[in-house]
Amino acid sequence: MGYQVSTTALSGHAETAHDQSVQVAAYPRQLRGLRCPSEDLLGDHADVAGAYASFLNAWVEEFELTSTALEETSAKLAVSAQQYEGLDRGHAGDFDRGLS
Amino acid sequence: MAADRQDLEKWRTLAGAGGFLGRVALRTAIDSYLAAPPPKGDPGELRAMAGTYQAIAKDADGLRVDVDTLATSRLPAVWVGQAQQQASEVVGAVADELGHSVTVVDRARLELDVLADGIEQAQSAHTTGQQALHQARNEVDGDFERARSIALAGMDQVLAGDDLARECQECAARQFTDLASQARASQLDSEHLDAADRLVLGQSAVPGGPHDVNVIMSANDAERAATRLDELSADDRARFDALLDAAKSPQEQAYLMRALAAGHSIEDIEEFGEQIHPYGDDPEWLRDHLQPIYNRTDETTGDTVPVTYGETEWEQTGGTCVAASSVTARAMVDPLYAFELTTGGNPGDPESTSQEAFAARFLDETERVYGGPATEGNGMTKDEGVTAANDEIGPATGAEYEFRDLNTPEDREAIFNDVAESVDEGRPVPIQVEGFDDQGNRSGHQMMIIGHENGMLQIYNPWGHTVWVSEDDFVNGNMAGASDERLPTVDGVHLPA
Repeated sequence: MGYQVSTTALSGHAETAHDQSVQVAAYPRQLRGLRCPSEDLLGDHADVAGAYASFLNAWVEEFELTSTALEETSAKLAVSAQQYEGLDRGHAGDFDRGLS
Repeated sequence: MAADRQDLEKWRTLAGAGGFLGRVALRTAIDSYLAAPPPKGDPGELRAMAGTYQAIAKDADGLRVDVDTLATSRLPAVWVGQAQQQASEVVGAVADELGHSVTVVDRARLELDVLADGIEQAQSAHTTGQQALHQARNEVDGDFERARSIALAGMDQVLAGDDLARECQECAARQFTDLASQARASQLDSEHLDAADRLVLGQSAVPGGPHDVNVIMSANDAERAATRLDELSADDRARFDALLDAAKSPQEQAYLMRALAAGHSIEDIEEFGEQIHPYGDDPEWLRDHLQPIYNRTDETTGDTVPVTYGETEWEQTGGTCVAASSVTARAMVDPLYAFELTTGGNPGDPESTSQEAFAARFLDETERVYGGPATEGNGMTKDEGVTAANDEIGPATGAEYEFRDLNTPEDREAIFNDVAESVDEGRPVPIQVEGFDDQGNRSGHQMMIIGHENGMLQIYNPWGHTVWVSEDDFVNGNMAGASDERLPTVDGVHLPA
């Protein structure tokens, strides 16, 4: 199986994934900015404040992970685009040397 | 309020007993109620928080579409090859994760709104009650009976406010606990997995039904697999990495991770990996041979759904409900065990993978756990049931099971959250039901609680089907829909610690 690639477009998609990562990173910041869980906020029955705090922590972490995954993907797409271009330049250089 | 609730109820009983209460005592009773604090909670702030959750859900839903487009059309349009396929797989997992996040965040928004409404009603009832009690306090030296009547109404309002607060907060606590357990990728917290790996594994699901209710790794699987990954020697780690790297699909990777979570040795996982690898790009084959149950729909109805291998049901023989439900539950948490039952360890052999061969192996395993022929004896005792749960399910989940006697609706209501939390995390809960005929003869049966969604429990009945029951059914003796009318009442559960 071979491959085809438009390195310029791939670099553009790396930028897109980076922007998406930034967009997701805003969610845990917004969640952390909410009022802290407490009995005065949520009530004092059934440890509802504790249950909400566990939920909040879990999903702040989950969104941070999603953002990181997009950032990792962005970096890998960018590296892939650079390496494809480097490969092409390398082969072009081989022919240059052959002609000189 | 909770600590004073009993005192307030005593005063209410006294005040309601007519002539037994004098003016001084009524004044004391009223003062006790006037000193009771209002239900805690800040409805306005909770609604503001719900607004933030709504905004996040809306934004994330739009982003999900963009990310999905990147995975499915924009990347393939500019890049073709094996690397692109794997990149699209990762980006697709991010899109799935965002879709799941939108569902969770929207449910959290709804819960915050419902909680705000409940607290507001509770506080309103408290305030109304207090106003009546102030009025009664002012009139207690006049028309005593009138003052007492007003006070009683006020006391009832204050108690009703406390009841409302408790109900809505218990419900919210249950929902938030459920939603917390759905953050699966972050539970795969291993130094050996990057964020993309964790999302891909956490979002791997079997085909044939809605993605969210068919994710392969439970929260408990994720946590146990991550712990084991970090405990492996460098050599074993390299061997396991080689299996993951060679896997043909995220589903194949997820089953390898589940095998690790179930506690198997690297040698056993390598052998398992080699046997399933030819089918690694066939998610339906993996589903049908490595787990007994998947969800064709996300509807939690009372309809029974057959649990089958081919057309053969995962069904008990004779009085082996405890053994058969334990065998199926073990197959749910241990893919190597499910693989042995469905294929006999020979996935390429039509005879070994036949429905007849599966049925024979299922019966053999049931009889091993039962300790004798399935057609003999009268079932297993509760102590034997605990042993079966600990021997069959415990090793793969890390749970130690304890029997909980549930004789009253209050007992069952009190344990519901613990049961729901266990199954949310991926630890099945054996449940015993019973009933009595007109002559007082008892019938008993064991089933397995395997799922929980929105206050409903999914039950596997070893008669060969699953069904959903409500919390009310579980608490109030309406379990006939899970089996039949002879067995309406929950008698106990084996709860994983």
